[in-house]
Amino acid sequence: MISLKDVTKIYHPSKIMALDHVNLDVAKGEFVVIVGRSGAGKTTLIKAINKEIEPTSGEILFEGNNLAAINHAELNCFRRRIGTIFQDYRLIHTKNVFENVAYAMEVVGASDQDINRDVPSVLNMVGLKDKTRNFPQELSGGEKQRVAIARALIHRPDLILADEPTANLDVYSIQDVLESFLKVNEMGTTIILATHNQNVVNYLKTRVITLENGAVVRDQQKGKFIL
Amino acid sequence: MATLTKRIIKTGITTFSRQLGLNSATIFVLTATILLFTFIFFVDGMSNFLFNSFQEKVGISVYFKQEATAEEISALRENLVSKPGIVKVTYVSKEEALEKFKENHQNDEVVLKTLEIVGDNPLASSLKITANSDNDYKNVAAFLAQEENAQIIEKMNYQKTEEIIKKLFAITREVKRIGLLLGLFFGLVVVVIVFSTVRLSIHTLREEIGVMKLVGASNWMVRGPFMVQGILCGSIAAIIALILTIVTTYFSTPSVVTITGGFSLFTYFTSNLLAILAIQVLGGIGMGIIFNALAVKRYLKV
Ligand SMILES: Nc1ncnc2c1ncn2[C@@H]1O[C@H](COP(=O)(O)OP(=O)(O)O)[C@@H](O)[C@H]1O
Ligand SMILES: [Mg+2]
Repeated sequence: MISLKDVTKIYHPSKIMALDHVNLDVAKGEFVVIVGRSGAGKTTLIKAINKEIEPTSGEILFEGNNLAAINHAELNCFRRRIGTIFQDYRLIHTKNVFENVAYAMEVVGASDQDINRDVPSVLNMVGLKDKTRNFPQELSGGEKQRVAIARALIHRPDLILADEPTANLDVYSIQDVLESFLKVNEMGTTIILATHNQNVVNYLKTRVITLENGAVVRDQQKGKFIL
Repeated sequence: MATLTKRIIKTGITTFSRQLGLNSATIFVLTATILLFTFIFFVDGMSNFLFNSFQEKVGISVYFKQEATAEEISALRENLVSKPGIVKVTYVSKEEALEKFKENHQNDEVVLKTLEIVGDNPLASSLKITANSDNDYKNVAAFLAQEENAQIIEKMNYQKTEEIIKKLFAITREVKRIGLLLGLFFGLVVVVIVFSTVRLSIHTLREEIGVMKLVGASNWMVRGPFMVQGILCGSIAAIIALILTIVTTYFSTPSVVTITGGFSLFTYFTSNLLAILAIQVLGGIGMGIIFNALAVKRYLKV
C-alpha cells in the first residue's frame, strides 16, 4: 500500500537529518509499529507519509502513485482515506468535541444523519460522551488525545497513522485504544503506529520497525521492543 | 453541494459567534472605512454644490444698447447657448430690469421720483452668461467682441471680473484635485489597514487551517466559513455605519445648511440613498469576503 524509496529528510537550517535513506514497504492490512528514541524520526516519517512535509530526496508511493506528483484534488482524496492521530492532537479550537470529530465525516461528505449516529457512538467508545460540548481548551491531555483518536477512526479510513497515540493515556485507556486498533485492523484497515512505549509494542505483537537517528536499523515480524 | 453550502454557512455563523472578540476588530476597521468612503461621498456632493452656486455667481453680464432689438438679442442668445462650455444664458429684458430696480429701491423716494421724471426706461436689456471654466469665459468674451456683436453691445463686465474668475476657477480646480488625491490616499490607507486586520485575525487561526487541510478538507470547506464570517462582519459594519450616517447627517444638517448657504446633508442623503447604501453595504460585504478569502489563501497550501 505504501512504499518509501530511499527517503531522506533534512531539516533546514539546522541540517538535521531526520530520515536517513529509509526504505520501507507496508502492505494493505498490515499493522506496523515504528519504535525509536525521542528524536529518532518517527514523527517525521508519519508527516512525510501524509504529505505534511516533503522528503528532501527519495519518493513515497501510495498504491503505486508517487505522492510528490499528485495534484491538489488527489491530495485531498488521499488524505480523506487516512485517519491521522497527531502527536500534538491538532484539534480545532473553534470547534467543540462533537464538531471536531464530526469534521472528519463532513470532509468525506457524510450525511447529517450518519454524523448524528456515528459521532456519539465513537465518542462513547473513547469515553467522552459527557464532554461532547466541551472545547479542546477545556480538556486534559488524555481527553484531547481521545478526541484525536475518535476523529481518526470515525470515517473508517483505509490507513491510520498514529503518532504516539497513547502517550497521555492511563494504562486502562491504553489497552482500550489498542484493542480498538486491533479490531479495525482485523477489519482490513492498515495501521502505522509510532511509539516509544515498550508495553505497547509487546501488547500488539506485530511487525516492529526500529528507527535510530533517522535510519531503519531493524524490521522484524512479531518484534520485541529493543532500543 | 447543498449540504456543503449549508455546512459552510452554519460553520461560518457558529465560528463567528464564538470569535466575537477577534471579529470585532474587523468590524471596527470596516465601519471606519465605510464611514470614510461615505464621508468622501458627502464631501464630493457638498463641493459640487458649492462649486455650482459659485459658478452661478460669477459670469459675464452683457448690457445692450437701447437700439438693440429683442430679435437681435435673442439671436445672439441662441448663438451663445449652442456653444460648448456654456452652462446658462439668462435674458433680462429692460422691463424686467426696471421692475427689479424699482423693487430694490421701493423705499427710496428720490430714486423713484427721478425715474418718473425721466419717464422713459433708462435701463438696458442684458444677458447673463454662465460658463464652465475661465477658458470658456475667454472664448465667450472674444466672441462678443466680434464686430457684428460689438455693435449692439453697450458694455460688458468681463474686463472687471476676468481676474476674479480666473483665480476662483484655479482655486476650485486645485481644491477638487487635492480633495481627490487625499481621498484616494486615505482610501488606500484604510483599505490596507482593513486587510492587515483581517490577515492578522486569520493568521491566529493558521494552525486550525492547516489541520483542516491535513484531514482532507477541500479549499472551499476551509475558505467558505471565513467568507461567511466576512459577510457577517461586513453587514454589521454596514449597519453601524448606516445608523451613524443617519444620526450625524440628521443632527448636523442645520449648521451645514447655514455654513454652505443651502446644502442639506439630509436631503443629499435621502436623494442619494441608493448610492450610499451601495457604498456601505457592498463596500462592507465586498471587503469582508474578498479580504477573508485572500487572507486564508496563503495558509491553504498544506
Ligand atoms: N520542524 C523541524 N525543524 C527542524 N528540526 C526538526 C523539526 N522537526 C523535527 N526536527 C528534528 O528532527 C529530528 C527527528 O524528529 P522527530 O521526527 O520529531 O522525532 P521523533 O518523533 O522520533 O521524536 C529531531 O532531531 C528533531 O529535533
Ligand atoms: Mg514524535
